[in-house]
Amino acid sequence: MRVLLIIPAYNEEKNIQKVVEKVRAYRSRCDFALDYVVINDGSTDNTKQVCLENGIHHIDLLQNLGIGGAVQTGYLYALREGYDYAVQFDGDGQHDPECLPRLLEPLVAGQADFCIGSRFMQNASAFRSTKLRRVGIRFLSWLIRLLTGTRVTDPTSGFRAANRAVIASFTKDYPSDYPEPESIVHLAREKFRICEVPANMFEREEGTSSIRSWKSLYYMLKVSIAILYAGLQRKTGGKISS
Amino acid sequence: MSTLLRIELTAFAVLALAVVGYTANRKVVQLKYALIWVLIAAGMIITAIFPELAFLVAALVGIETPSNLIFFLSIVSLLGICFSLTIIVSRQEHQIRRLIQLLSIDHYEWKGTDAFSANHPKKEDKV
Repeated sequence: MRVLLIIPAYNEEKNIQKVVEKVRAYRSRCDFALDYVVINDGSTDNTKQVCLENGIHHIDLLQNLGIGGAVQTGYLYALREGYDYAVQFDGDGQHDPECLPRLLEPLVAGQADFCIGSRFMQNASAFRSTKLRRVGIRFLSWLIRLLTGTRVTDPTSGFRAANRAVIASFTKDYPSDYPEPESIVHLAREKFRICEVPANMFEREEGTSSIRSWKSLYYMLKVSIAILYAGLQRKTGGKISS
Repeated sequence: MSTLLRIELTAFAVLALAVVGYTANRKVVQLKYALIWVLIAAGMIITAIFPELAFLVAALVGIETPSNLIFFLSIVSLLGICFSLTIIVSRQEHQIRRLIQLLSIDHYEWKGTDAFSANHPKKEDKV
């Protein structure tokens, strides 16, 4: 079993080394073949230098593509290199590699195609975001359930595992701006089996989240419209092929 | 409608057609995108030479003044062109994104010091 961790990084010079160290430490003692790839999304800080100095496996995007395009690059890489599973893993240190077996278990057992690590299930995580943001996340959950019937407690979670079929689907079509909730809707529409497991998450240590407070309302509006739109679309795979 | 106004309108329409033709000829505008503008310029010339047409069509569809008909048609066609441009931009964004991704994977990957789980990755799935 070969697993690829896709680590998107945009201006994460302070975090990326710590994140990779954690992955390396975990990798040396886990019982499956674990690789990682950092996708440096045209960072304007020293992310690239930090990667070079520390021997970090990375792909430099020629241009900044935004989180969706960066993550999709990882899925393209996973498909090309024939990985069995791909896991999205944030470059800011929020996610815990110790949760990987739990996240992969439903996929390996063939019970699901896509598995999301949730902060909210069984109080899995000490860090659960701010109250206002939780209200927003609740609303998105509700909207996704309304449109697809899929129950997801943490639709904005960026800690997600995909099997080959989902990897292939994501390489064809992956939303660009705030892709997590929207991509869940896409998958549900394509009849992929989605499940959730409790996952521990940490508060980001350095830098700022890509979603700042003054932007949250606009974010909610955009994501809601995107979800609605995705929910009402015809069930199709991707439109582009290469 | 005065003869002077007709001459002015015709001259303007001919100029528009000339600009479109010139840019298409110099490959500044691709022919497939220039076609719609050629049609519009041709329409302008026809209505400038035969304004009776505008009166006739306006009366036919129940619009009181021909100028309103022309405004209406212009706005509709401009909206249509705008929308088709949005479609083109979206498609190009997709294409550019894919191009950057594939190019970056092929030429800007740096393996670093971490050994990989498989020495020779299988290239079975062609992307």
